[in-house]
Amino acid sequence: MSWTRRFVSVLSVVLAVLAAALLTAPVASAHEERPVTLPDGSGSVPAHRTGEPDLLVCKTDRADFERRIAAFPAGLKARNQELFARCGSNGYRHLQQAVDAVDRPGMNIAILPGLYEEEPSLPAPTGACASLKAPTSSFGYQILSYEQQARCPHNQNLVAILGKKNLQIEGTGASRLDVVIDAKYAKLNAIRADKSDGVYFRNFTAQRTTFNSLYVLAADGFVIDDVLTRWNDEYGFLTFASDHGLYKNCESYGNGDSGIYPGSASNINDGYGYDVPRYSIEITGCRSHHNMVGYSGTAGDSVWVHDNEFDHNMGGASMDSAFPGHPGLPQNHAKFERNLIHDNNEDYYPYVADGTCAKPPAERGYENGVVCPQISMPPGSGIITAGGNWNLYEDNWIYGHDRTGFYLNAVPAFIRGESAWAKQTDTSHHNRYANNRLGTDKDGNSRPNRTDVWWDGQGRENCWQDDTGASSPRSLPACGTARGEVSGATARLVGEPVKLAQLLVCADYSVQARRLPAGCDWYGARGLERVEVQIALAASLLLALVGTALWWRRLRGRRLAAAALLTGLAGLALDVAGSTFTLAPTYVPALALLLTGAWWTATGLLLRPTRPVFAWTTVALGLLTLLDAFDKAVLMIPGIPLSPAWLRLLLGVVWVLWAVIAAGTRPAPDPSGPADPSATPDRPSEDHPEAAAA
Amino acid sequence: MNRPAPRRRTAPLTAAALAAVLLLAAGCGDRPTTHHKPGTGHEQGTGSGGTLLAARDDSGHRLRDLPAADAPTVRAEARPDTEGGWNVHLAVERFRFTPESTGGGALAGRGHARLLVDGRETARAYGPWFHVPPGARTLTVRLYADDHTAWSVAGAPVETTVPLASASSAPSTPASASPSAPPSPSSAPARTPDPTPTGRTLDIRVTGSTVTPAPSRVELKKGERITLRVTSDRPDTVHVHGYDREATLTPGTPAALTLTADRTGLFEVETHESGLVLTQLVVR
Repeated sequence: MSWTRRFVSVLSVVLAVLAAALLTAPVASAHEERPVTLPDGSGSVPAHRTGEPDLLVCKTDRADFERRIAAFPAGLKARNQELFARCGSNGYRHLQQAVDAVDRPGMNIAILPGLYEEEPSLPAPTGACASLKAPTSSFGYQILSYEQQARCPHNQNLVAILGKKNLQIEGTGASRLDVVIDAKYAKLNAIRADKSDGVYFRNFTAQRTTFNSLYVLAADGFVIDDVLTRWNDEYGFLTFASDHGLYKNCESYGNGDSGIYPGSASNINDGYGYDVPRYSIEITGCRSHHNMVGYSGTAGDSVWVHDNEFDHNMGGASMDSAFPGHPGLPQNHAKFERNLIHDNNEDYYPYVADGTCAKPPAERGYENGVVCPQISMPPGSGIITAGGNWNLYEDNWIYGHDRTGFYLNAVPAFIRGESAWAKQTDTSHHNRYANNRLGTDKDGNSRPNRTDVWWDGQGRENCWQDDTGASSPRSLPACGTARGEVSGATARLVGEPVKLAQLLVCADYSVQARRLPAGCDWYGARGLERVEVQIALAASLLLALVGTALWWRRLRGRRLAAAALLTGLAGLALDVAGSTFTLAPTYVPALALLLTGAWWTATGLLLRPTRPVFAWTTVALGLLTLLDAFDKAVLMIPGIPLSPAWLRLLLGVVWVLWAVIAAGTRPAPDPSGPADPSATPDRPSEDHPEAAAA
Repeated sequence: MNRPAPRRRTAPLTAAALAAVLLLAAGCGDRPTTHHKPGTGHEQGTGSGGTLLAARDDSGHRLRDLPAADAPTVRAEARPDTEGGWNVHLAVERFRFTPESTGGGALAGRGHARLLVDGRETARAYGPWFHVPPGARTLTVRLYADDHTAWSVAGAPVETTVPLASASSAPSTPASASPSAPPSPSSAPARTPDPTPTGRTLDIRVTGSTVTPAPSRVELKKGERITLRVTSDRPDTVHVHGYDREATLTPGTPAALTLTADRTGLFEVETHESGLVLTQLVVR
């Protein structure tokens, strides 16, 4: 009956908050692509081939070429001169022409120093290609089938590599900047390798697209080696639905989403624990900087990320399960080892606010350091996990962040379009943060993070190293020495209510509408502007008012009650203080709960004689609040499905209403009760408390 | 080529959330198409960077022609420096200095300036301020695209020329120090600026936490020499990473640090006390 209905409605509210909060959860990345399935995993990581190239690509201006190679070491210079001579007679002038000439697996293309603008591929499509029938993505481009890509390869791609097996494309310069493939913001992708297993890219630069510079799709086997990508609306490197991949010694910067995005890497370790047979994609020796995030992995499954540097982004790395249409969700089994993740404190949101990002891509000024952050995320964060399982973060250096080193929250399955009840709490579990050097650079200098951990409190078997500094919540489950060992493991279905409220506000970001939620500190809100402070202030004022009225009407004259009230008011004031950006990761919020809890408990005990049921409710609220303080400061209580904060919130709503009634009505006659013996002269209302209350 | 996307899923967040909850409660429902709000526009540009002409400018770079209404413009203003030479400021319209993308394709409205002193090309400018050493008589500033073609209108390069020596009270040599002193009162000992500083000279001024010109990258060929002239408004030390070269900065006095770029890589030039990055040297 009404109990069940109330339960359902309460649950709905909880889920609504949760849903809204995570609808565009803290970081995530997505792109829309034709439906693709993950490779069967029968391929392998291709090896670099050093033999003579089969096909040569160069420009014809000899003087220009000589200038470009003038400073090369003698051997390399001679080699380039020899290749240039050969290329002049039987080479190609554009990379696409050489790719089109590939007629068997295992060919090598050498591309000589120069600027490649791929003029024949550059014009906008005409004829039949201009009117393809295909769905339009929310990003504005058409989602083409593979056959359509093959028929019209330059609708979206400057260079299209379609269905070529074991192709190697290598620049012959002294550095990757000697060969530049420039899309000049005229195409979504500079290079697209689609269904091209075993592709090997080496030693060049690709830049300036309206989506990604280097795009590998549905490949079983690929290597990205010593390649630079920069200045893209979304990604530098995007490798999607692929297996047996290797990124090494790459660099990317100036991207509106991430430098490196191994999205929907093959989900080969689903069902395993921490010990897995292999990883589908390995990323090492790369640097990704001055992007929204250095690395992102919506469905970045089974990716081994080690010995990289992600710095000076808004966030160092993120992985999530927040977007539909990615094979392999929920995200799982990323392994981050020995990475330098530091100083990710850039803030590019002002470029959204001032209209820079509303201009066409070519006019935004990416080359001068502009980045247009595509989605909502907390700047100043090291590694963000918005819905992910079985991730290992070990032996990394995480330092110099203005917000937090590790950020973890849950994302229920319906956010990614899966409605089965059993899946709604299938993230974020078994994430292990251990043996990282927090707040210390490689030389041992102290470079603290403002906080080391921000966690919404949801999930099973997540753990952190025991030398974690300031964190929110202040107490965290601790990792044991072996993977899988957790002391004080928790298993909560929903995160902390105030944190979900904050996520709800923060998620209402739209780069297109230039909407930067005013209450969210991700976009610069401080002090009273922050929704957490507003909530705390409103709740504290309400509780102070109700509490004071209750004392005035029911407990006036009792010294203990007055002391309790003062304690409570102090606690409420501290609660507001503890909600500020500075004090939130300290013990102040727990102290506030302690004082408030003590007030309620004492008040409840004092009220026993006159209103026993209400009194015990008050005591229960007080004890729950004390429990919440214990939970936040001393030890997260294991084995409960909801944090004490939720129960306190729900009971608190009931209590406020009840307290208003209790304060508003005249006390029932109670000859034995010591409370207010003199304050009940008018008999009629005593007989009709409901009337008085109404 | 792409028409604007039809407006989909523009319902407010909360409504969408409630809908999701209702679907959830009902235990069924369609899969949402996307929860990623459309981000920035991804409109593909036309790639228009003017018309490449067969004609070349006097330093051998091909011209890239734009209609006058779209073409950049440049004006230069030269003021004598108290220590000799001229401080030159460029006022550009429809133009942005893009040192980072030099070597890339030409896009209208961006690139760099080349400085021709007495008709001879001496340096590039990647920002609006630079210094011309004494002895120069005329300065020509010409605007170039990232691919080193010269921007032009109707076949004429976009450029400006300012006379230096003949300016009314402007000194032609550092000896006749100008009484009409520019704002920075320098009590510096009269350093004799090297008249033929081998390689390029980069002037950097640090005022508080502001670095002028704004920090960017300087591209050097391996083996090239560069002189960094740094003027700070407070005592500090300037340090070139990688090369581990340092110079002490005395307030108001330019400190020169000359080095040969004999190692390739990316090297930061920083101040030690204030921790500012002044520029980055890219040696290739």
